[in-house]
Amino acid sequence: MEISKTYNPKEIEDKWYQYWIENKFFSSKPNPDKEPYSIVIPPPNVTGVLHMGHMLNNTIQDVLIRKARMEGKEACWVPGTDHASIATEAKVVNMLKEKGINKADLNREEFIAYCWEWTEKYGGIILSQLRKLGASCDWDRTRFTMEDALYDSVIDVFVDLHNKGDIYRGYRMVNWDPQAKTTVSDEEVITIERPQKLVYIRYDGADGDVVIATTRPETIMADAAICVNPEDERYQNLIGKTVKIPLIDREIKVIADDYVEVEFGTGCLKVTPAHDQNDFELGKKHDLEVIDILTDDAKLNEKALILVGEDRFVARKMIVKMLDKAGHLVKVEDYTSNVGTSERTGAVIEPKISLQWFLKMERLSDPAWKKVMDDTVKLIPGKFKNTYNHWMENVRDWCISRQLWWGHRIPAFYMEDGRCIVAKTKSEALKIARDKYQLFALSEKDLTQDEDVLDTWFSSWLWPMSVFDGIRNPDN
Amino acid sequence: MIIAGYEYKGEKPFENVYLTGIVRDKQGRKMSKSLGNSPDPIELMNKYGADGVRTGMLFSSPAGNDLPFDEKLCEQGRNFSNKIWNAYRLVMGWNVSDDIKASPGNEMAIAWFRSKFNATVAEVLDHYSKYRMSDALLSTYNLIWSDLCSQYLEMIKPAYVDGQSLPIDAKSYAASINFFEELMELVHPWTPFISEDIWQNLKEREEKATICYAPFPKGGEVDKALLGQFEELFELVSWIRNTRQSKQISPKEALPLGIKTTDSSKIKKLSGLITKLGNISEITFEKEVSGITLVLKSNEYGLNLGDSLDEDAERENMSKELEYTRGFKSSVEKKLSNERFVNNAKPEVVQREREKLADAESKIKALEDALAKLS
Repeated sequence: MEISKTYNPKEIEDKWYQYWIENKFFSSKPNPDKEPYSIVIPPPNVTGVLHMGHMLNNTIQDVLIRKARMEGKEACWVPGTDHASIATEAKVVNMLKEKGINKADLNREEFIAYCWEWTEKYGGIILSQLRKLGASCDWDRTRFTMEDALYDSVIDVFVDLHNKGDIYRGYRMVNWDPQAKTTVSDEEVITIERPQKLVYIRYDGADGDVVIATTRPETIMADAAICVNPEDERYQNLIGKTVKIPLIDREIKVIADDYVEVEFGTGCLKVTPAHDQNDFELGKKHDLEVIDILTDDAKLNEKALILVGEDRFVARKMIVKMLDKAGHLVKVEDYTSNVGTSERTGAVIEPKISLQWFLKMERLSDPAWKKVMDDTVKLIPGKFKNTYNHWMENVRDWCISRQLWWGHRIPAFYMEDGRCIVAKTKSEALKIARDKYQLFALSEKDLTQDEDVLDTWFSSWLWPMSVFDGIRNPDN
Repeated sequence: MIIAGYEYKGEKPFENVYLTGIVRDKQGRKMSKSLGNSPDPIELMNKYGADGVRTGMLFSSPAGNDLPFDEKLCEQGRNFSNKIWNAYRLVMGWNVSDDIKASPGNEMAIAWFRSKFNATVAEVLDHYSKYRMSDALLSTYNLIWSDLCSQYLEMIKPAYVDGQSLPIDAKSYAASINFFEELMELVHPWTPFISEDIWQNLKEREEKATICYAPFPKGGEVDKALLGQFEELFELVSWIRNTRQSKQISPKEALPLGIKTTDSSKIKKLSGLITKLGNISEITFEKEVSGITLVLKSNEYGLNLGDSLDEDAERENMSKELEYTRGFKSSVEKKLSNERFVNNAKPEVVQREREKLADAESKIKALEDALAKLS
């Protein structure tokens, strides 16, 4: 036999991969005579392309599964992709824009049809790239988080957790991406150092004036109070009195809370519950009014009374001039501070009060926390146990709703009076409405489904079970 | 996933969770489209082969640590594929003769590689069991690159006469093919393509046979004494080669080697290999060795360079080295006579200094003896 002088990967790779696939060497089924060894792929974005991170983690998976297969184990590597709701939706919106179509001009069904078209066109790419890497996945088991079985599993879990009392609807400060017009998770926010202007503004009052410093002068119209430290001798006479917001002359109270440090800045803090995470908490504590002066695309709304319709950054510049003219501007300093930006769009994140769906994490995370800490589930390398511990110790309720269309639509149905019924389908919701509220005249068209979809992770966290249809058939 | 697993199955979804680091660029920056520092994996695979990229990614990726990616890693991966391919071509190119018996040297080399292979498999399995992926790869890599290619094949390959390779005996050939088969099985998870191709061609295979279901090596007996002897052999050979190089003597010129030992039977078994690897004209056992000398364990070796040696230059070299070593010795002595150092330094540090002193003393003695012989 003639052996080629140099190793020619291309020829050899194509030839043998085809041989492996033709002979179904990577297919697997439960076998009582063999020890099972399974890996489920951390699902890459359906419309993504292979990057170096995928190369690293999929090579490791393939090495482990190939070794297990050679050791006589029943090796099963389940491939698949997730629908990546925000990433895919952003790509489809851009594609439509190029075609001259605006998402706002489409209805939900039309838009989702485009998403499916896109998914079918580009969805196979990353999986075929994995074949080139040599990944020995059981391709007949390929799954997708939006396929029927997995979609249903997600909805089942939502209904189940709602019935158990773990899912609730509530006001929360969320990270709002004004460009994508959706909430993003803390992990999707990138903090960047930016030069800013620190603006000192004087608020006049009958009993005395205060000066506050802020990087966001355009939000003063949303102020609910001025806060000082209860020990601060300078302001004792003002606590409980009022001062006026410049330009709009609305009166707000001066309150005292040791959250404010005497030494920091002027010792006076403007409290704006609708537009700052800390102020939101402070507002809850002191029962302050929440005045949201921004639209979903971060322009000032009519509650701002002035500069209505202006973009937040434009308004910021304009209001400084207006304050100066009105004699309320004390000084402006250069200042560097951290600004949160959206990983997807790069837009500056706006903390925003909104009505969202939440999953309570404490009860749910407890077993996982314990089992990782006692090494029932081992993290490799072990140093990540500390990280896991830190996460679980500080776990917050999970905001699971997203203001997008591409994804698992929240199975909550509203009656005209605003009452909400959570059920798998509209007809089930109707049945509940009739049984529970005795509303026999109600029909399906009186129910409106929630417009939002679930965070992609609300499907990914079920992936190891849902790929085997284990949610719908627990004994599978 | 762990949380959902406990909620819906009441049991753990995973036994082990392997966390990879982030792939960064050479400067440690995160890879991103906007920085343009993220290579296209498909292009890399076209350039270096999928196997080359797979090994390239894993050469230095301990679990949980970031991988500072450099395309050179993929180059190293491709070189690994080429190394395997060339070794395979070499072995498959040999003519086999049933008429020759395996030489004692070949028999020894085969026994040694068997032990080395088994020892490495044990190491590799241990790494895998602790998910030390890069270590598992590196052990496999070194076994093929150094132990197979640099040592075993050099020992076993038939001599070239008049530009033609002499035939190899059937036993050594069969052993080499078997080693190759097992090595391909060991390396298969890392380099699935090249290993399948070679594995298919090493032997007649049944229809639908595949390395994917070949047994992963389990290891076996390890003759530690034999491994030790070969360590010494390799040290001796590399000393012979280095000596030739530093004295500018052609590797083609055979040189006589004198050995002073208390156990000549062990060395006699290896004499064929010493002769072959070191290009030695004759091995003699002597009471005192002469020429350039090396002490390994309890054995002394003397390489007689005869006319090739420039005695004056050699004397000068040795005198210089003697002077340097004496100076070094006195600096260590000074350190050890400093009471504050001896009393305050860690015991192991003091011990190390004492060892340095002993080494220097024996080196001075050896140099003095050698100089005396020269004049």
